[in-house]
Parts: sequence; structure tokens; C-alpha cells
Amino acid sequence: MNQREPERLRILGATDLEQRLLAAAGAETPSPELTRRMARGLGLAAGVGVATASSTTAATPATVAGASGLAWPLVSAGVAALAVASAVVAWSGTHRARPAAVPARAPAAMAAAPAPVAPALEPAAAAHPHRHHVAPAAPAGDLRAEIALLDAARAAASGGDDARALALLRRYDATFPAGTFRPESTALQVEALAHLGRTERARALARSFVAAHPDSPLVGRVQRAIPRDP
Amino acid sequence: MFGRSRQARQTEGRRGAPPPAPVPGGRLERMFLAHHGMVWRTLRRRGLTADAAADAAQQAFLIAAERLEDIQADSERAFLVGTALRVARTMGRKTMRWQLEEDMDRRVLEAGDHGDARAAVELCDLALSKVDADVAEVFVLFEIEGLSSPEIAASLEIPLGTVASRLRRAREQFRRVVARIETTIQREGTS
Repeated sequence: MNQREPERLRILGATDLEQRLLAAAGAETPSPELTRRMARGLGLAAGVGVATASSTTAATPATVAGASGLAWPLVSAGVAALAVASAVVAWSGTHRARPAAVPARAPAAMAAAPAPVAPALEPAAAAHPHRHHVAPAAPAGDLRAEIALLDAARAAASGGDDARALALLRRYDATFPAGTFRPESTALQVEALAHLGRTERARALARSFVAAHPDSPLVGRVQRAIPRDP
Repeated sequence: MFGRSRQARQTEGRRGAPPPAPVPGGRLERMFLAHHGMVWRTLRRRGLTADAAADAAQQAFLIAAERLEDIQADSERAFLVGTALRVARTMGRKTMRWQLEEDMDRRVLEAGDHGDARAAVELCDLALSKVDADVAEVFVLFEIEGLSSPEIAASLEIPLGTVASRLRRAREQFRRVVARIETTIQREGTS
């Protein structure tokens, strides 16, 4: 017997202040110093640093698949993706000049020992003597909220409630106009519209999607979602 | 489900001992990389200082290291966070940093400065400190860390129905406190 999973407060009904407090709390990360201390206490490689640690997490299969944009069923297992968000935020907090390097490094970090990355972190860690720090809340919190909102929409869609899925996706678009998962949101909207019989709207949205993202791995999915032109 | 008290006591008893040898196969390292932030954060939300949270998290991973063969791959996170919360309870109130009621106004003012993430975190913790401890754990795991109800049930070794009822109670309490905080912010903003 399945008990229905409750909605997250942050998805439905949270006030702005509640959202802000929960997002900030969820974005807090241990300082590099504390992370190294924990790792050393476990006999793990002394070079395990915060960014290295979390970005290695990014290389778990779920996240790699998620990054392809095709792994919607895996997003609910989006813990790994959230860890990536934390890594990016924690890392960019100390390496603002090169934030894009973290995701790029992640796959290599899985294959190789973390040592090449860790030494670069040492001076930054030394420059941040606080015992812990709060990473800038918005990016990680936003990503977390983005994933949660899309998860809710996907759950609604797979439960047959396409109208609700559509409402959640529109809320996603309105809340995150530059959201990381805008393409996925659009693809899901095309599917929901098609299921609701709003074929013209689905087709128009699909066309604009393909025009805007011709190389997206979601193109095939979007095209399959709409009824063929008569 | 994760009966571990004997091992826990053994592990806790050797705090300060030399670190254990690296675990063959790297599973512990993988678990650490994947979950240490979440475990640490959950302990912070339960009122531990950053240092105390790191100590308790480390203890949880040490316990996990001893029980790796008992921990299923899909329950690593639940095991770790559940164990960490139990370790935290054994650490006693000296690690707690619940804020006094009179701190609220000051923290509200600080949090009112937009972008002050530190103050927002402290305000969240302040609100959580007003929520009953047993229900707050469920709230933190579900609303902040994004665990599923079954995962929380396994982690805290409570029935699924209890997760749901604790979540409801926690939400009511948390939202009531945050509403008070909001009122304070508005009052400060208009005075």
C-alpha cells in the first residue's frame, strides 16, 4: 500500500520568509577546514577538500544522466544534483573567478584522485578562517527549489493530473525565468498540453522550443509529444 | 533497523584515538563525499555548533565504517543521518545553542538586511528551536534536506504514519513561529 508523499512546504504554500529561511538553511555548508577535519578523522585522504569532495559527488551516475536533460525520473533522486549545487556554491564562494570549472571538472574527479584539485583550495581555505560559512543562499537554494518544483510537476503529470502539472510548470517559469531547467520545463509543458488536448498550443510551444534549442536532447521527446501535423 | 548502540558506544569511546586506517574499496569515502554536508547541516539544524556538528557527523561516519556490510547502498543516507542524530542526542545539551527569546528582535533585524544568509540561517534555527524536538527532526529532513517520508521513517526508525503526523505538527509550529518573526520584521520595518 502506498501512502501519498506529502508536498514540500517550499513548493506549495510557503510564504516568502519561510522560503528564504528554508533555502538559507539548506544552503549552509561546512567550511573546507571542517570538512578536512572530518575526513582526516575518518582516515580519508587528507587532500579531500570541500569543493573536491562535493564535486566528486557530481560524478555519480544519476547526476551525469541528469545533466543530459533526459533523466527526469532521476531528478527525484536529485540528491546528487543538490550536492552539485552545494559544490558549485561553496566553490564559487572561494573561487569566484572560475565558477564554471567545477561542473567541468566533475567527471574527471571521479576517475582521478582528488589530489590535483585539493592543493588549489588550501590558500582559499586559509583565507577563510571562519569555522563554517554560509554559501550564498540563492543559487543552491534556487536549484533545490527548482528541482523540487519540477519534481512536483512531473509527479502530477505521471499521476495523470496534467492541469496541475501545467500550473506548477508555469509557476516554475515565473519563479525562475532564467532557471537551470527551463528547457525541461518547456518539454514537460508540451507534453502536458498535448495530454490535455490543447494541441495547437502544444505544437506552437514545441516549435519554439526546437527553434530555441535545436541541439537539445529533449527535441525528440518534444516532437514525439505532439500529434503529427495532419 | 539500524540497531547500533553497542558499536556506537565503542566508537564513541575511542574519540581522540588515532584515525582508523583508510577503508578498502573507498565506499566510506564515497559516502562521505556524497553525504557529509547534509549530515552536518542536519545536525546544525538541531542546534549543534559548527564544530559539534562536525564531531557528531564524524562519529556517524565512523559507526558507518564499522557497519558497511550491513548498510544497503540505497539506505546510506538514511543510516548516516539517523545515526548522526542519535550521536547528537548522546552529546547532551552542552552542544546546543538554542537562542534566547530576546535574541529574536536582533536576529530579525539582521535578517531583514537582504542577502544576509547567515542571519537567515540563524533565524531558521531560532524558529526550529521553538518546534518540539522530535517533530523538528522530521521537518528538517523533509523540508530542508528533501528526504522522502519512507527514508525518514527508516532513518528515525518510526512508522510512516508517524512521519506524516510529526511533519504536520512541525509545520504548524514552525509556521506559527515564522509568522511571529514576520510580524516582528514588519513592526521593525514600519517603526
